[in-house]
Amino acid sequence: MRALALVLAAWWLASRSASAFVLPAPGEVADRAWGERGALLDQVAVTFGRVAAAYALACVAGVALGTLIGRVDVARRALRPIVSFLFPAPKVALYPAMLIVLGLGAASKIALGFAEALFPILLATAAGTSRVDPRLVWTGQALKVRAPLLRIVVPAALPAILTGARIGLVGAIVGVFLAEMIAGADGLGHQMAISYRTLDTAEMYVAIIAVSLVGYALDRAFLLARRRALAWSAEG
Amino acid sequence: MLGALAVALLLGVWELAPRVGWVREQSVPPFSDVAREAASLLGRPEFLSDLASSGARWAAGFAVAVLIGVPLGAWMGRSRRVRRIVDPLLALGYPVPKAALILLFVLWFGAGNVARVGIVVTGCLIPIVISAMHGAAGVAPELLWAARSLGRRPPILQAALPQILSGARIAIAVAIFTVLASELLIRGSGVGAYMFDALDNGQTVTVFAVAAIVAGLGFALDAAYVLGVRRALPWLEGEL
Repeated sequence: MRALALVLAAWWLASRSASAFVLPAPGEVADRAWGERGALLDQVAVTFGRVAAAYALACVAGVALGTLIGRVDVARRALRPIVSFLFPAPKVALYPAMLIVLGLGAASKIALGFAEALFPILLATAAGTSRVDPRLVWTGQALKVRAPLLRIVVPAALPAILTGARIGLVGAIVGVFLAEMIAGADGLGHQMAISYRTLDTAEMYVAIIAVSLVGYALDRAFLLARRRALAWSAEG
Repeated sequence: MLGALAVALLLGVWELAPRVGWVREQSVPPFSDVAREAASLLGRPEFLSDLASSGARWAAGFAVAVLIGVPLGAWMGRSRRVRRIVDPLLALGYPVPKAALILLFVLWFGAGNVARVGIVVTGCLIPIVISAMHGAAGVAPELLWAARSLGRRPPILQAALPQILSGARIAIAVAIFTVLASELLIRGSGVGAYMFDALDNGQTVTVFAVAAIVAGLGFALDAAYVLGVRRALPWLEGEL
């Protein structure tokens, strides 16, 4: 809260010595956002929906593939080279290819968000599941637990998985917003790109603050959910 | 062995899919065409000069982020007061999509290298500051006592080095991402601009070839970094 006040105060001071075109005052930007709140909420909903879709897909794929790599020797040896090649590769370099394959609609935006979110989740899951206490797995075998990967290994590795998942969440937001900025007809990223082209600078600040708030809210919600999910562990 | 087989299988499917007609050749060109185009791109001077200007921006942004981020993070790790001031600011900045700031940087600094490099610095700063902070906060007290009794400066940076190096590894990848993103929004020069110009002109093979080159460079940089650190600091334990 104090940090927010500090940033707002610095912004307000800076806006007094800069032109309103380059840096409008915080109040001006807030007025602007309030005046168009209906349309703004629509854009927030569009971007939020894409982020949620990309993130959900990345969580499912990342945990599934990561568990395979962490626990199944054949999968690890087969997938390691591909994963270690794609992990440091800048995903935005693949975006034109995604545009060509998936078109200009929502699918290519969700794909970039997915690609940005996938690898932190996948690698954290692989590291976490490979370090699960073997006694837990043996106990499961002795008790003939069905689907032991899903019911024993993944829950035991949850602290590590969620660390990667938090990084992935920001990745999903960055990916979707950037994709909307590059090519799109709606969403907060598109709003940012359009207001830049029409030199409507106050609107640029509205868009970037809106997407930051979406990110902040999702991150807070994530931390709350993690505390509940990890109530049993030392990190909870 | 198995890994090589999986890679070969993947490339084989990529080669066959457009040739057999599972996907349109205009949208996914076969692997051999992309490889040939990539090889020819690497011989074209105008592409190489774009590559060089992207590389210079990448290096400048990364270097500035290390020069600011490591001392700031180490200071935060050692001083509770500094940490109390800077930590909430970092938490506030963490979920902001850094790439989204590019257009604001253009507004503030003009559509030039200051904006492009500035966005790279912004993107790299958080992983470097946070790793340096954790590294410096976790320095074993015995080291500090020993340094004090010897009348030397405490070896904070040396002790925090493993974590700083891990943070720098993340920052290397972040820097490549932000360079490309900045160049696609500020066209003119650089690999990102080259690729998105090719996209606008409908040169699909070129788009795939540039993407392959950039992905390969990202992988090579990461591998070279890990190898270089291991060579230079053979005493370093654990994952980087």
